Amino acid sequence: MKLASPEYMEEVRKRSNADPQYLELAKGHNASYTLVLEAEPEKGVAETIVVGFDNVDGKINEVWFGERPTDFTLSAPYGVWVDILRGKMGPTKAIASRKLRTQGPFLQLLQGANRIIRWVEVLRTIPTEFEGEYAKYNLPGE
Amino acid sequence: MAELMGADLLVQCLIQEKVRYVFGIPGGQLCPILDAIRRFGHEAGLDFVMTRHEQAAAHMADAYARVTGEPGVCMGTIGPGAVDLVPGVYTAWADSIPMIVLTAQNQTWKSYPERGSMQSLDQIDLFAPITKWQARVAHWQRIPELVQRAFRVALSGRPRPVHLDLHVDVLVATGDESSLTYRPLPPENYRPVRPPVADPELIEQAAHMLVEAERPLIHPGGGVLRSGAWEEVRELAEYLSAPVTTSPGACGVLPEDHPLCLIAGGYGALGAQAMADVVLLIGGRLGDTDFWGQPPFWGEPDQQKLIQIDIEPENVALNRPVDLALVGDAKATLRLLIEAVKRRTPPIPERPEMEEYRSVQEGWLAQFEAQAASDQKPIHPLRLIRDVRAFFPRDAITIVDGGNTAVWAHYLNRIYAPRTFLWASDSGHLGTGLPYAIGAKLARPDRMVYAICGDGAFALNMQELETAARLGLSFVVIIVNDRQWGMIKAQQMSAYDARYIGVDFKDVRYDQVARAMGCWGERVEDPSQITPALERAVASGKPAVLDVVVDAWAHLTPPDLENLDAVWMEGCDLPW
Repeated sequence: MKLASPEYMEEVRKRSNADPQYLELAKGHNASYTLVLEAEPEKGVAETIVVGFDNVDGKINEVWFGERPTDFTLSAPYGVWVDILRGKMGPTKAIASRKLRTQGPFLQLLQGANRIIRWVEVLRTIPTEFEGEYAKYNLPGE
Repeated sequence: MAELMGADLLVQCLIQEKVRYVFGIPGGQLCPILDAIRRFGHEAGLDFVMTRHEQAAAHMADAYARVTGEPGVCMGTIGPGAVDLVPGVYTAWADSIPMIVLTAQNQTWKSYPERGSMQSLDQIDLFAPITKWQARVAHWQRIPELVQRAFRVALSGRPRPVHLDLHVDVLVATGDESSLTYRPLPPENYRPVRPPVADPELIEQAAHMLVEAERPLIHPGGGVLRSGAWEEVRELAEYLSAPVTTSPGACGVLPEDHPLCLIAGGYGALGAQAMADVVLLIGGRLGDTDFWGQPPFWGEPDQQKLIQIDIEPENVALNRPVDLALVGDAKATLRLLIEAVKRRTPPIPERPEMEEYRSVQEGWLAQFEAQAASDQKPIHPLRLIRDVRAFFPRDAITIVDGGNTAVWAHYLNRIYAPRTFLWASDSGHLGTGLPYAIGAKLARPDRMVYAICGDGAFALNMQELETAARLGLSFVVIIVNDRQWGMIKAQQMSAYDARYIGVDFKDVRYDQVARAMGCWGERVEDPSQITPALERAVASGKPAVLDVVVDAWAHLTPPDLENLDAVWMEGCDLPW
């Protein structure tokens, strides 16, 4: 399924909510997130994709498309998200290197670092197709 | 007046500076100096410490300076001896350590330019990039003047190594003491006894900014340790109830269990740095181990004001624009700043966000403490670090030497006192551990000293075990033996698809190497034996080596290594 497509986001919700390790780390966490996957026309990614989701006591309750006011916004070029998902770089490295830009209370983001790392591990299990030149990195899923 | 030899003049000047040790290896051209130390230096409290490599001599001088705050002195003979000092001098240069580097040089009549003498070398150019000042001592009469100037320059502004190149014909030349323009004099006759203080008006402005801040933060760098300003940092922090985060190399400015101290690079500290509205940076440059002072681990410059105190104008705004720059000694300037703050406000009660910072820090530490509880064999590195730190007293001097070893040590090896943490932070120079232990123990014989070294790092200077045994010193080196260059292997694993090259060692019995050199040595493979082995090591009264076999796989990837890699390899994305 295409990265950040409706079916992909639904799979994100299902797999996250079914992962005991993630749920243990996310317990008590309540926040909403916007993820911005920025267009890279020169690499075949024509349009910016904006998706969002919430966390209620750690569980993802709702996913959506387009912009809404959220507690956190994480933005990066499409290729950075691909690099994170294929394991070329971890999410904390992406943040530390300023490739993944964050808005929102940074302390809370740090507090949830292990939760985010586990979440990315869960996402890596989803069969994922990437746009444009990034298709060569498609993930087979588990 | 008596006739004096050049080397005698030099040693008299060192005695005036109360130098206790000159570290080095003897050489033919150095013998006049050694002989002067033997003839009258000893009775004045000056000794020569013979090492087994000049690099280690420079590291020992470096450690002596870090622990005492006084310049370290090292010496190398002409050519190879001088060249071999370079790595140790560079390490001191990188961390702003005052050091006097003495090298012997051929006779004046066959040097600069050289004309075919054995061991000839332009040593002034050799040391130019790693010393802040260099001079050829080409005339007997100039010896006191240039030695005094060397100390003055080494200790002025940003402290750093200086270099004197001493021609051997000048060292053996004699002259009438009465003909000297500059004689060996006490330091107060040739260098400032009080350091410069920042402009009082700017200090008032800084006080105003700090008092008005909602979330002030104090960030000391190594300059606070050089200046001896830790009491002032504590007083100001406690008065303002401001969190204190340090550069990683400046750990110990505040005890790491002080309620206002947030551990360098920990998530509590990074969060506090990001959320502060006014930052007081003291004696630091916000280099890469401080994530360049840039978001996300610091606030956006338009939302976070920066006040910088530094003795060196050149350091101002080096990596981030400042809102207010105070050029002056940290201790003297902070003293006035504290007074200015006190005139403006009563003590400020604890700020609510402090509890949040501490909570985040505790969460960050909890994962390491959980791993440290492991009874696994091979030993988990954090189990080792935890047990070692628990064994030694709070005021013990800690030395850390390694790549991944340094990262693991940082998680649980708490530092509780200033000038008790020695780490080559800005050079990352490996091989410092054992020489630092020797220099630190000579500087503070009353303190327990322990070094946590990676096996690769330790082996770079392990010949100094003989030096330590010969000197009769007592300290413990804990080798975190993973049989690999762990940090580099981790990089090859993650970024080069595990195509390993040049990163694995054979298993070496460092405990047996230690015993062969007259030290205590023991291999430890069971976590339950860490503490008993430490007890036996200390009881031996010798320099001791505990060769601890750790889980090489676990050791490969400290959790936050990726964050450091993000900074060190920034802009170097591999094409796959």
